[in-house]
Amino acid sequence: MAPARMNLQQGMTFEVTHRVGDEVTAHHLGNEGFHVLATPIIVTWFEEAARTLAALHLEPGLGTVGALVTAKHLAPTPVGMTVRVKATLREIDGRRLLFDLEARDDKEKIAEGQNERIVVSLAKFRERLAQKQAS
Amino acid sequence: MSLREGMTFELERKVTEAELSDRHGNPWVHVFTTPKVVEWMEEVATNGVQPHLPEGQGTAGTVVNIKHLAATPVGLTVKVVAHLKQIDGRRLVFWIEAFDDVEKIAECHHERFVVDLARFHEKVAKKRGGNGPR
Repeated sequence: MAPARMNLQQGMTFEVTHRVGDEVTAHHLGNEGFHVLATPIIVTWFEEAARTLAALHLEPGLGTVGALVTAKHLAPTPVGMTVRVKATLREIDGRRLLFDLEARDDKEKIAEGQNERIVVSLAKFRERLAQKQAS
Repeated sequence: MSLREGMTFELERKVTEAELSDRHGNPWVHVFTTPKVVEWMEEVATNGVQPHLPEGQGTAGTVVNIKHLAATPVGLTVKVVAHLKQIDGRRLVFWIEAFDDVEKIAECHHERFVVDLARFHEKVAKKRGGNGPR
């Protein structure tokens, strides 16, 4: 993949904001009694921020898939608070993109981590997938 | 606490449309999405240890380091196996692997903390500035 097809640059940032509702709590995902933002949801929002940053600068026909996610969940966030997740593009290595992620609620930093994503041609990706499905 | 290092917990489940990436904001990528893999992994670990904890205790996730190795199309069955590798006081360390019908699709280092629910509720209530659990 020619880098010319991407306008991504190191240091770019993107932020997503979410309100913590009952549907994103650990309790809702089955961990009874924990009415706080669930770790898998933080992972979802990490990926959302990183993926959106990438998508804004990729040509049509290209997308990214997640290859690696690390998340340290530092503090619980109660229902009703707002969480801001910031992605920073830290590294571009061919088709491999590495993002730093940070999440903050109304009071404090609640999570930090990284997401590695691979730029893929959506057509090729679907082809490979169809092969696996048929195997 | 009857938890022991070396315990293994499992779950097996079919990947449906609900777990695909395009339902979670990544249009055109119709595969089992990474956050859902994380969700199933946490579910195995959480439900696995819960029966071994005294009443009034639970676990909260603190660390997830997942490598998503291969794409899984809808319809395949995924098996998630969690190994409780280490018990370090209230800290539980898991190594979790996921396999679909064809290959290994993900591996993950996961840590959870055993917490007293009443104290946890208190801490969270204090943070939100309200009273009691909700």
